[in-house]
Amino acid sequence: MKNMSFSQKLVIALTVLAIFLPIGLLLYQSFLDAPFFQPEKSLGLDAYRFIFEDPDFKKAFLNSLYIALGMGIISVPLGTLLAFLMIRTDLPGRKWLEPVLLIPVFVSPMVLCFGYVVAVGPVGFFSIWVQQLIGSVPWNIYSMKSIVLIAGLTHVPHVYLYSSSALKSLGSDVEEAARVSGAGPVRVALTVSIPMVMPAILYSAMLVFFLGFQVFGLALVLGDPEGHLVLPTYLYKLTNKLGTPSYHLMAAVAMCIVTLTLPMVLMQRYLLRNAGKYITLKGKGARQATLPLGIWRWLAAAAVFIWLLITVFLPIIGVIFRSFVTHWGEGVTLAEAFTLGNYTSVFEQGNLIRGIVNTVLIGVVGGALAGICYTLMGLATHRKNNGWTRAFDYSVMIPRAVPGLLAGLAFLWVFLFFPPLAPLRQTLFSLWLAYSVVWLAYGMRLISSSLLQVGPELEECARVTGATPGQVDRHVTIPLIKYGLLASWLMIFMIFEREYSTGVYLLGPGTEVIGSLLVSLWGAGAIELVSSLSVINILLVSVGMGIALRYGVKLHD
Amino acid sequence: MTELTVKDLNVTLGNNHILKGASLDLKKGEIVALLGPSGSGKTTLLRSVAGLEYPSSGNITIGDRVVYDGASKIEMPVDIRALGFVFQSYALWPHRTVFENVAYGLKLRKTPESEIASRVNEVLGNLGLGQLGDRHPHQLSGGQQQRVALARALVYKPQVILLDEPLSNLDAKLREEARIWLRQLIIELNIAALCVTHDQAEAMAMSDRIVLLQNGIIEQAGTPQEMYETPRSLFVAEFMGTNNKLKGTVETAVGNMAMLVGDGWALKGMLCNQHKNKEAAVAVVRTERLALADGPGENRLQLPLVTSLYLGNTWEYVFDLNGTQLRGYGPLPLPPGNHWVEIPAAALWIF
Amino acid sequence: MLRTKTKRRLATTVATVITALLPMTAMAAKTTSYPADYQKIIDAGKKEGKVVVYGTTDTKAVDPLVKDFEALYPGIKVEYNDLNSTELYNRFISEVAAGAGTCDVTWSSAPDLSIKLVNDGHALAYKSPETASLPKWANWKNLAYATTYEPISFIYNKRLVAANEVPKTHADIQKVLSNPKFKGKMVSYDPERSGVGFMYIIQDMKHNKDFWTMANAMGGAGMKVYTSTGAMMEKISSGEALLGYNIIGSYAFMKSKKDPSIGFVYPSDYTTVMSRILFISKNGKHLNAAKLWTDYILSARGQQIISDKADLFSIRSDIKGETTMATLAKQLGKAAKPIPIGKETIEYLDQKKRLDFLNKWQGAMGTAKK
Repeated sequence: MKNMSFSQKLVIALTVLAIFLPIGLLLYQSFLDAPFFQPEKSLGLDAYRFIFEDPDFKKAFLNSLYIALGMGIISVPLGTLLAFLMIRTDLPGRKWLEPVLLIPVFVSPMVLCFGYVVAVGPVGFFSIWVQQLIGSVPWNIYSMKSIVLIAGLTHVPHVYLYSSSALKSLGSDVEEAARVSGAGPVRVALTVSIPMVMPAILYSAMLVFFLGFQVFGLALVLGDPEGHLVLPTYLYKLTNKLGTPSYHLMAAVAMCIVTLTLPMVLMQRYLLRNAGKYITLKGKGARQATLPLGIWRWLAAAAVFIWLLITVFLPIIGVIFRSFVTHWGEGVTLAEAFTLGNYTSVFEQGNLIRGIVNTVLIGVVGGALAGICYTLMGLATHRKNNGWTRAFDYSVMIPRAVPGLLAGLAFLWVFLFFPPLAPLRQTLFSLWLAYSVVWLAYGMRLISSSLLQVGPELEECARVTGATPGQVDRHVTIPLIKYGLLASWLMIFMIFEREYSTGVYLLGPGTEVIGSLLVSLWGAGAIELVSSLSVINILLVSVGMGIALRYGVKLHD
Repeated sequence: MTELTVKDLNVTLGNNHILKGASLDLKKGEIVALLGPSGSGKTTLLRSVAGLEYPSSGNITIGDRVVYDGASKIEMPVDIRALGFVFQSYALWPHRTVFENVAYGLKLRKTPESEIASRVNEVLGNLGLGQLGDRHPHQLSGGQQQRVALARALVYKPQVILLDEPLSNLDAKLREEARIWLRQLIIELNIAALCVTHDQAEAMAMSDRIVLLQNGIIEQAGTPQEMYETPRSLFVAEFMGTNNKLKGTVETAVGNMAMLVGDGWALKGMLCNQHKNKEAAVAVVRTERLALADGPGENRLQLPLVTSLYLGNTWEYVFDLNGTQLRGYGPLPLPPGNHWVEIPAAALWIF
Repeated sequence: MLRTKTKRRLATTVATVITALLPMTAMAAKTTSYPADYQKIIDAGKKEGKVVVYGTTDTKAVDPLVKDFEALYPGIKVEYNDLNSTELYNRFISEVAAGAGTCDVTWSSAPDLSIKLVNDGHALAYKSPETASLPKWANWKNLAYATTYEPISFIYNKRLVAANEVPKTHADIQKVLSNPKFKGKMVSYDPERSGVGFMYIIQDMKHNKDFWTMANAMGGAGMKVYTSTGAMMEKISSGEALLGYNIIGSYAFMKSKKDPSIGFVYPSDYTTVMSRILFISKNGKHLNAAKLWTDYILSARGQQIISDKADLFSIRSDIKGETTMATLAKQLGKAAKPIPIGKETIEYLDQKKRLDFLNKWQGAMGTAKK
């Protein structure tokens, strides 16, 4: 590890430990036939044999693959196009649009899907309205196609995030050159701007593909009625199918998904082998000019609006509506069912209040701490292209390949069986660590895209002037990416606000968070509380985002 | 006194052998230019001296400190090599004021605040930036930015200053002024400077010695005069000036003189390489050595004028020699038609 | 509130009569006697300062119990962890294996997992002084206690299902399923993914000799299976589904109080009765406090709150109210079939037996689908 300081090595070592302790436990577990902590166990491939022979695994795997691919096919082009429209063109209403279109990032997919059920489910208010209008409801939200469509549409913001930051740093001269050569705005987007931000797009495509295997809340809410099984719900099935939880089977499934990631990462590397040709993205100060859309302007606005309507407004209105009624359905009027009780009962319950407070804590403080850790990791691997950093790049993807629920269980084991961490198990720290590791890939990419915008000579110059690597980080690099870091904090805050499955095993009284409370309330039947708590959560995040944007955090620097 | 010695330095990047055994030395108060086309390894050599690239073998000594030695695996980190470095893009830190940019090196050296202020102000004053301390880099012109970058590299009085194409971002006029004061400044400060440039005129104007690189190998090193007047290879001859090139065969070589014979012409020239009789060769003659003549004579040709161009201070003539263009200068416009042209034998270098 | 009170008063009078008639509740007549040295346990419990409970009952329902217990024993805090039954099991065995602090008491609605833990030797033997007031089967070897008496019910949408269409027995279910109105409109737990759902279906198989005919009819009518009680009740309330099969009565009862669309029925041919099983963990750190909590949950005082405030069903025959064993006994008589507590509870944790059943079940469900 030439030119890596001790502290950088330490950061990498700690990260690798945080990643591979839980993953290693899962790997080990997958080769056993009983829980790893029990005395009577033996090594073998039984777990793999079982799942490969289980027709449900094949079904779930194919469904997950279908969802992952479908999500990619839908969200990558749409997200990229959206980024192009938002960043490079004179699309009307860009200023207020940006925070709104990030809503699907921080609203738990379970809640979003539940909103869909209320709005466009078989007896949803919108469906009934359509039925009265045209006599039938031309869609079925429980079909596999709908699931893929909703999954795809709700992941558009993820792609948007990465492509937009890349587009931001692309000088508009290349676009102007294309305009002068006679290309229309669409052609400019397709042939110049978008190809130039290909690395960011490929990265987001890969992340979306990974997230496709994590689609859980969505499959739980929309997949149940017609029995569409996906890998995370299959994991659930494995928990009960044999009566007692079969960790080895669950671990084997997780390892199958992890194995899948390897060719993905290699493919991304292969596609980006000539990354040098994207050299224009280097450095700051590229002049930005908006591209006039001309007649396309309102057409584009309409398209964005339709997307927003389907992806954001429809489900959110569904959730808000549900939070103000005792019951609903065909033949129930709003007047008879209206209530504020769903909100008052939230504030009557200590655990829900604590949940709200903790969620804010883990989002704001935890998000900041995670941001700091990601920054340290980013700096440790910054501008170093050796085997270690390549291995590191790959490693950060792995935790996201493990379904959240199982990752949470693995972290419980780590906190139980790894003595140094044991005292921290019942604190918010355990939750924070699990969240931070699971979202490594997401957070690291935010940070590293900021880091890459710093011209290398600015850092080299400080080195020559006499600064140690640490001083360069503190005096030059970090001050320069300050705004990028603040924006990343905001993004991490959002994703931590919504995270749910990872925390289930690490929660205790006093460390509840909204995401996990939602899951348990959902199970116990308190759907009205799920709704009101979700609305409160959405409000909280919106307020947080409002404050951040008001006080100078820019989503892009 | 030698401030910098580079011995047999090799740099490889992957399978790419970028620098193949370069050696040079640099004395106090001396400016050495690293010259070469792009990809020749000149910037790599400069960055290796700074510690920004990692050589695979060789030795670099600054003053009496060995900062790199491949054999004994010494590799001093860049920050303690105590060099000055001026980047091509200036690399001014956008989040700091001019004063803070310049003061940074002193701060790192734990200089007392009062001394920092006086030294920074002194260097800013010397470079004509006295009033600009509170500005941020983006509020400065290109020339001012360049001087801030220089001030930043000089303020802590390094033994050696490294300059990477320091003038390339300035416009032509400013560049010519800058190279004069830059040279004066370095001589005044009595430090050693290593300067990368791809412009041979700039290299000759600024430096005491020139090191010309090609494909990672030093082609020739010497004073600007040696480089210009006694090039040791065709590459150096061609790189160092504006030239006419003639292709022919060598005949009747006597001592270091020979005849170069082409299609319907024969010229006497200096043999710069070993050549057998009837061997193909290329001859180079600087455009300014091509002179008009009043009639036939030794080493004279009668050539048709293709065009003559007005350059302000002089006229440039373009003649045709059976498809090869020959260029020369003169004070007056020439009428169309054939003209006698002389190429002195001493100025025709046969390679 | 007023309505509930009147009902409760009415129930009180009736219950006294009923208790004498029912052999199952006969023990309630015995007086509860606490040992003379019980104060020692109280003092030791107070010294321990807290009791950690892992439970599947949602926090809101448990809250009144926690508050009352803390009032009864000032100085002992209840740390209640709301988990689902699988999470509870996973967490428990992991923590025990790691030798890390685990809970003092588990209180789960999945009897099979609880009994498995007890059977694996994780429970502390403790004979609660309240035992005498419980049905005999509710104390398993002084290791585990059944604490509630919750009927498994049918639920339906009151707006959309006419009174005469509501099934009253399991035989009615079969009839209802032949009505096209209910095609694809019936929901139940997925026994493959829901442990409790599996448990209830197995009880059906035991008590209903026409079980597989019914299962085939369910498959034929496109019954949809879920893991979440909430999702099912929401669908019935909104009219997306009309009928819910094997829904935990306490949830249905609670929901029907707030939601006028929800109606529920205890099937009169037989009603499976589920109990929340409580046991003290051998590895707990606050064993005295755990004993106090156990006794409290089983005591008349605790059971009254379970019935009145927690919206669960009391297992004590001397507790009066709408949601008590006494009232249920009046309504159901011998049709009440508690899920047995003991070795047979974990019969279907045997892999082969379980998978065989599930394969057969899948076959029944698949009859119409494909």
